Amino acid sequence: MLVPASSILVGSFQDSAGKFTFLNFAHLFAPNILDSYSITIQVSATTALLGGVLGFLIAYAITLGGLPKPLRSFMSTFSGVASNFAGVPLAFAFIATLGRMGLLTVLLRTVFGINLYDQGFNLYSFWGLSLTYTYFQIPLMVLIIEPALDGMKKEWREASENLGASPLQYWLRVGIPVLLPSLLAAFILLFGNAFGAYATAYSLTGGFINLVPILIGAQIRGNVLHDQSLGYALAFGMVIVMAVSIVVYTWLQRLSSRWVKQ
Amino acid sequence: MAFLELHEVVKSFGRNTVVRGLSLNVDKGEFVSLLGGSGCGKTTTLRMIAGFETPTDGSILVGGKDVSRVPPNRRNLGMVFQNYALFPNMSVRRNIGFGLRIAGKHGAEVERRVDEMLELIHMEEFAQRYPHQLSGGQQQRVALARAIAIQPQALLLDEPLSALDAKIRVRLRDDIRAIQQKLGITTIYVTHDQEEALSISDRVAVMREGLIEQIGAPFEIYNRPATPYVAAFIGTQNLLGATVIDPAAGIVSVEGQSLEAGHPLDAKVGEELRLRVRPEALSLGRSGPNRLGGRVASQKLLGSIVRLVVRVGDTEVFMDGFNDPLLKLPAVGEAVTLSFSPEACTFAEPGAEPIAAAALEDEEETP
Repeated sequence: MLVPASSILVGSFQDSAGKFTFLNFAHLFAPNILDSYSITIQVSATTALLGGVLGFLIAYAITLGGLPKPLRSFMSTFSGVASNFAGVPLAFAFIATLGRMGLLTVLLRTVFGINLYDQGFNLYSFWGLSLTYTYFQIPLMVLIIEPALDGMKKEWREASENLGASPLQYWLRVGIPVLLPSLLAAFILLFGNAFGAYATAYSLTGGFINLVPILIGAQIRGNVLHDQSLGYALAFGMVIVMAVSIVVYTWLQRLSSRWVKQ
Repeated sequence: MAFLELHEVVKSFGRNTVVRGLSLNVDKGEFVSLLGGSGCGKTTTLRMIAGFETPTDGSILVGGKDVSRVPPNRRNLGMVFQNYALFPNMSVRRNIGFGLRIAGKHGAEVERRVDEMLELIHMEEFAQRYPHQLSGGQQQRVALARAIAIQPQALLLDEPLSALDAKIRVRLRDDIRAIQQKLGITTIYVTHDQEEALSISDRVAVMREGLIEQIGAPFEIYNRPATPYVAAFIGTQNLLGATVIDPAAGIVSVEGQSLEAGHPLDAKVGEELRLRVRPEALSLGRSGPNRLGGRVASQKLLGSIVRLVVRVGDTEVFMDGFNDPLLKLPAVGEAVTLSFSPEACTFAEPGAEPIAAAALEDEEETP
């Protein structure tokens, strides 16, 4: 873990001739690069939130929601597979389903007369990309929040009802506070998961949306415009974003879990 | 009219009927235990009173009002769970104050009431602790305080001591009873532990297969079991095969030795009956009118009690005596005479219960 991280650190302070420089970092503040950080963080945060909420609801349904047992093991297995389904196959699956000539797009247009792309939908846009990401974000959330939901004792809820609380009051005062540390951890994990995703975005949008990993890819893949040192600096910038989010997370975690067994 | 009434309450889960038309009246301020083995429906009955289960049939009245369909958060009943169920994210103080805050009570009022409760359970110095920093016994005290802080109409306890050590169990048991009597709160206590039920209740309801088999004061339950099941379930019984010799005079023969029942028997000469006598009703020597001779098979030390197992013919008979350090117990193999009063005998039809099985199983607890 340390070796690649330190090679990024060293590389980001070198120019193409290997001499020490701050120029790479200066380049990071170019508008198009700042934009790409901003869009990457937006995609990551949006999909982490979306995947987090939907994944939580599914996990709730299969753990505490009283669904039949076989459905739960099916969902867990499916989540295990789907959370790892990313990259070119996922991008292709979405293009084949929701692309301009995708199955669903055509079906909606011919059978129901609804033209998705006329309605403003575009798979190769910010929201299209975010939608594609949620395909692996939701099942990942299901997998990581399931154990936490299993830890919620039925008696907490009963005790709170017995003391006069409504279901909403139970969730506000007991359920969510108890789950908060796990929810924060899950959110950071989903954020990081989307933040580093490369293949899905690249094969879906072909670089149409300038995510940081795609930008890095462009720098190191050796086409005409490449600048390996800038690639290092870009990667270092990502490390910083992740480091900051982990620091914030740790701080929130400490606030929200004073009561947890140390 | 009773304060808490259950009328012909039935509860089925699918095709499985757990409670089969149970009726129970509990007076205000009374402490009633529901006692029975696992699967007898005692916990389901309590959960129906609390409102966590809805009766399939019948009705539940609290203070004259039918609450059968009232959701649990509007019944104002305090419940204590086996696993404490304290909210892990709240300090002791906030746990106890939870119900009051939900009820919209003001800060100062909540604090005052919480202080009262902390004093009641002697845990003033633990107010700021979190549940995981407390022992099981302490957690259950807090759970008790949390349940009574809201001044509930009745207190419901679901095996509250089952998860605790034997020593703490006895102490907390006495504390629960003391607090209950101090506050005069109507209490339903579910347990599988007969000693627990007998020691703290005003009345004990022995349950079996979704019905109350017998309900009465602890002494009545122990000394005058109404059914063979209760007789076998409560305490230890010696079961001896007895042949009727003279029904009018109440004379029977056990292993060829003649005994007096103390009352006429409703049976024919030569009929086989089952004679029940408790181990603590027997004593060594020839003091009582009824005597059985046998040989000591073994000795068991049960703490404060010593149990002699005496072989009388083909039957093993238990005799319990206090564990007096000065006591000189007969050695294994020694011939002894056991005696007991005619009043200590009760009779049952043969086949009502397996010989000696009830006596042997008694010491085990149902899980």
